[in-house]
Amino acid sequence: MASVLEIKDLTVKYHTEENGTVTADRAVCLNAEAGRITGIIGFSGSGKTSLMLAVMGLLPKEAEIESGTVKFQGTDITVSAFPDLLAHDTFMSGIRGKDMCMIFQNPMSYFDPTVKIGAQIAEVLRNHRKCGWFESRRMAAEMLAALNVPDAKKVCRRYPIEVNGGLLQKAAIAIGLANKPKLLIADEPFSALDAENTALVCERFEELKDQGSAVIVILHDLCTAERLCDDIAVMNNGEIVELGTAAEVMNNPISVGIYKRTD
Amino acid sequence: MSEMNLNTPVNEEFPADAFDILPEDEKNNEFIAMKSRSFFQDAWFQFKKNKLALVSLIFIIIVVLMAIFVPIFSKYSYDAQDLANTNSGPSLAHFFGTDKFGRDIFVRVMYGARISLSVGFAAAAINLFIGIIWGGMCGYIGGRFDLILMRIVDIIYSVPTLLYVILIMLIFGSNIGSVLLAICISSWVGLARQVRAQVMSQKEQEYALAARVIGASNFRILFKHLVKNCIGPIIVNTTLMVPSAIFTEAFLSFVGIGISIPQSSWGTMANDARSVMNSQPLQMLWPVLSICLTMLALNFIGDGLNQALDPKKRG
Repeated sequence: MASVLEIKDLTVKYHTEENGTVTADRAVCLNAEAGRITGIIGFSGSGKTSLMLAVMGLLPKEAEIESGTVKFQGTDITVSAFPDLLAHDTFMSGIRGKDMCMIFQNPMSYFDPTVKIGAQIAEVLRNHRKCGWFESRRMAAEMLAALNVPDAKKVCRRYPIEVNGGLLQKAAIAIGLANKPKLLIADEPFSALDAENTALVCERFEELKDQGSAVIVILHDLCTAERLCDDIAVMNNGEIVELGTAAEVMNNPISVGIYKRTD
Repeated sequence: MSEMNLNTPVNEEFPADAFDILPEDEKNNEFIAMKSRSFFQDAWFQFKKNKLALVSLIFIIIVVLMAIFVPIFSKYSYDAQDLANTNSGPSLAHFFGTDKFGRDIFVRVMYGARISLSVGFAAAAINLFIGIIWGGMCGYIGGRFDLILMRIVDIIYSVPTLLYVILIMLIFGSNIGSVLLAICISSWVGLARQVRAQVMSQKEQEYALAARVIGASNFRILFKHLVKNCIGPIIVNTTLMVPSAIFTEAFLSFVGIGISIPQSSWGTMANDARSVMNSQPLQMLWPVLSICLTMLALNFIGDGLNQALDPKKRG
């Protein structure tokens, strides 16, 4: 299968005032292949999120990619591959949301508090295709309904602050899935969902995978990771310490000192 | 995969069959009790609770309506002289009396309201436009761009306002256009600074990053998301700019470099009334009272909006 995303020797550093330079990711190599779901597990602070932000080109300004390349469908999309920041930004905003999309871990702060949920889902559609106002609103409601949201039309007319965290997380997932991206990165997409809804969202991810997209999921729940993912990478201290198919990683009795199977 | 087993034993205390999913019709789906109110509906709800601000708003609406309609429908015109009937006191024919040329003061006050209010609102609108664009771009782009643009703001800020105003009035002559230009050229910098500070703090919020994730353009992120999120302080600042512009116009007209005679603004009327202040003090009262009440009302509205738009300031 073709690689949608190839991360090669990627090193991300943060220049902080208190701690000096901190290396968030050290020479990380990771491939996400079309038609496979790759799970990334590891402790908090092990560099999972900053790795994904680096892929999306959204690192905060105190962080920089020191070395390495990120190839998306064969094209290098790191800042250094572009003549200047503006060219990089223009290119990236053309593919972000359409070909690659990311779901953040905290759904409560993912949404603009002054814009209705339906309008925010519609925005991702309207950013990338010719799509009328009513058409985009209708599709937004349909997408929420597909994630088992009751009264999806009503929910679309609400402000983010008026609905609960689980619903917001589903709305964030709906935004991620909206344009059927070639690469979907989900950063802890199940943190506010119950078991039933987790299963439902897993199904949606699998549907996307079956359409030939690559999905990267950052997870803390190892049981879900085992069920959902085809490949699993284990991260610790900014390095990928173990990489393999889900069965390989999960059945490895000692996962390089990070996890240990108890039974 | 979709057949996820909920009954996986988690630990010894909960046996595998301790929980079961309810059938569909017994499920209690979420229920949202509070009625949904948009940002502006909520602000209006809060604003209504402030009686002083509400009364002020009604007062301003009445003044605006009178300023529009009284000069149209009155049988007197603002500059028609009636030398047989000068300096008369208030009567049924002339509600506020007549001035030293026999002009109806009531009509002149209303005509003055036209000029004063239109100067006030136009100045606020122009300031709003320039302030949001200038401050928003500085805050959003940052870096050297911000540095250069904000130094320009500092330079404008450092020259006394009155100096510009008098120079502009001397160069462009005494008319509404130059009064507006004089007021606007210096007062937008305050708003620009405020918008910049707000945008700088808002752009660090995660929703701004989320907007970039879905491929929104910079223009859209700035003006659709960031500016919309700092709309509260912007509206308050703009409302308070209206009375300050009216005040500046009245002051300029009073010292004789603002609106020129025979057009009337509240400032020129107060200036006119100076010569007859000893014998006809009422003539001074009408324009001054109009200025005071309008300023008070606009300030109360600004306060009310401040409270309504900022949840932290609600008492």
